Amino acid sequence: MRNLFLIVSLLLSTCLFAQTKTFLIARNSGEKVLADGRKIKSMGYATKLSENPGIPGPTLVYYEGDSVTIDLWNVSQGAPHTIHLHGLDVDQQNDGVPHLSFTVEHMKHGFYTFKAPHPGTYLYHCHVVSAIHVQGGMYGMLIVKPKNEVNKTWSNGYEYANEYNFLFSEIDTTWHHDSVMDHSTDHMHVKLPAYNPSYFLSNGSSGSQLFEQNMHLLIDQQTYVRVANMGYYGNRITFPSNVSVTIIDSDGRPLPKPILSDTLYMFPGERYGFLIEANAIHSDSFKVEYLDMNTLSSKGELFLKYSVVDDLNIEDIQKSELSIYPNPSGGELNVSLKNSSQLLESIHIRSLDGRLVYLSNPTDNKAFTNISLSSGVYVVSARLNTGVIIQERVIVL
Amino acid sequence: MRTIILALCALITNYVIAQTDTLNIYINTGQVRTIDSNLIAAKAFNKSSDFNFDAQVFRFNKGTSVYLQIHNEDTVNHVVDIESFVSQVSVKKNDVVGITLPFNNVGAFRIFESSENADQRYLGLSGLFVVEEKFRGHFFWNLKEFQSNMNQVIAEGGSMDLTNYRPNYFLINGLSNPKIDQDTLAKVRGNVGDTLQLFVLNSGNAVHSLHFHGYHVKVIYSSRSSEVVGWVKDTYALYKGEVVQLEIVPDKPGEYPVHDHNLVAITANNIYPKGMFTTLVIKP
Repeated sequence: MRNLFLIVSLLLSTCLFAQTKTFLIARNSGEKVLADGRKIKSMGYATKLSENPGIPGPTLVYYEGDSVTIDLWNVSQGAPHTIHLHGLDVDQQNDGVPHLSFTVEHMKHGFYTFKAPHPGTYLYHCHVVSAIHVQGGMYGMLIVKPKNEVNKTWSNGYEYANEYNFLFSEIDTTWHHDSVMDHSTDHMHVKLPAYNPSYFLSNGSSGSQLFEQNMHLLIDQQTYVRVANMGYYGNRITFPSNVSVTIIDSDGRPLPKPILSDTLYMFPGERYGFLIEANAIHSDSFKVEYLDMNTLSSKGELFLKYSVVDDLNIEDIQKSELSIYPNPSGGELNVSLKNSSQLLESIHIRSLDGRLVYLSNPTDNKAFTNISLSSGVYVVSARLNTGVIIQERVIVL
Repeated sequence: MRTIILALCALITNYVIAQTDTLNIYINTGQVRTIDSNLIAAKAFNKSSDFNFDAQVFRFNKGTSVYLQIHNEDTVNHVVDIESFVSQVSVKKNDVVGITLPFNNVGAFRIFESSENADQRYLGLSGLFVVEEKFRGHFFWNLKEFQSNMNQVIAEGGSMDLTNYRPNYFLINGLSNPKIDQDTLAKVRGNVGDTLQLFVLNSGNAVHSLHFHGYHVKVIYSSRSSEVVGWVKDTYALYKGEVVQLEIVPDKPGEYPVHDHNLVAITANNIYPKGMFTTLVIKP
């Protein structure tokens, strides 16, 4: 009874004050494994010291009105780093631009504070010699969800059954060498190599890695897709004729009028949100092209596959299938599948009142580690690559 | 006293009734001095016969009528368009052509070389006619990029090939960061609560994706598509030849960057951070 009272009190205080803290570690010593197995040096943001900083960094999810503090710890043994909160319209001090805000030197912490703005899709990235640090991998998606609304784009916005997010970028491997990444400390005079990317990424993956990003659309229901461009090329996304696509928002703001379209152009720094609906069971894909900004010619492409299904086949799991530990937890959770013949595609964690508190796309190791949660009771939903969703309840003390 | 009244009446009459002024525009050739002191062959529309690769912005009061004389100081013939007003105005070398333009409505319109010879347009003959009701809080950016060796080829009588276009200079009003700060037309300065209007023309061949720190901007006008009017954006991509009017209403003080988010364009001859980068300076 006492524990229950404690949990309810903690939940209430979280709701009332909505203080959210995020801890990120800036690293220069990452290693990125490309689709063909090639390994390159990367920079990036990690959530713990033992973690390889991924490309992109973790997706940060907040709720409208949250008071957010991001603690950036620079453990790079090299250049200073920052976080630019792209599109959040924060004040100058928190803007992450070296000569106008502050930089975070090696072994120092920097604290960025802001109030989560309008629900929408945003980005974060380092703004120190940004051309090199962003190409190095120091970026990620930042999502602001409506407060007290589940599966809605924003208050009084559109309802949806399912949600996906895709962050597009490119990699030019010639930039991922010490000669480029260990750049001059004279930040006003850094020489860049020519940009000739050969890997075209969605959520950091390309080629054979992309099967993990397959989408499942519920027939006759809307799926909300967020897309963002953090590359130096434009994107042209072409939708097949057997789905209806309505573009509804951009850069964290609703469009005055939704636009029905079969093609979406998106350029560096932009974000869009669109709703997809299909009325027949089928499988197909979106074509994503990467356009040279100087000529608008397509230099690369990938395909994001989807299947339209009549049921997401939600199943309660037997505990032997999904490993969630520790449970009860002291604040951190690790989620993985025991059966290696299947793959985890994404993890959604909701509080008992339906608030989505964690959303993540696939990681390279098919496991989700060190998910930080405040005290409460949550439902963990793990989506498999087969379309099956398995759920388990967890307690965080 | 009577003389003063007459003089005042005359002034008022001149103001209210559309007066025809004369504006001379010169097609000049010259060289742009880059931030790293290279010289690039270029052409420009100027208000005098002195070559100056600046914003190429010509501002008019709404309700006025202007007799425009275009002087071709170049050694080749040119054809000029002023969007929404006139098209295919032929101006032979060393010739002058006059046209009268009534500016009845506010707006921003592109003046550009429209001959089939795209080389001339590439060299920089592209500017803005802006018709305004008031002249306060308005700023102007003419975006342009060059692949400097291509300018040299054209200057020597060759022709450009955009198949593998790879520009190495990225300019706002002919300037690169940090020199853009010295251009009073370009440098956005205002106060919290002001309604600032930014007119932007992409005179280049590349797409430029401008990202605004600190504030979202509202699209008031786009020559490319009426569909985007009313959109509220922090990143707006201008296509080749596009003119936009963006409205900024700052809600907080500070100095906030605006830059091309194709981060390769924040360079001059591959040196970072030059190119298309400037800041908005907002006072309390």
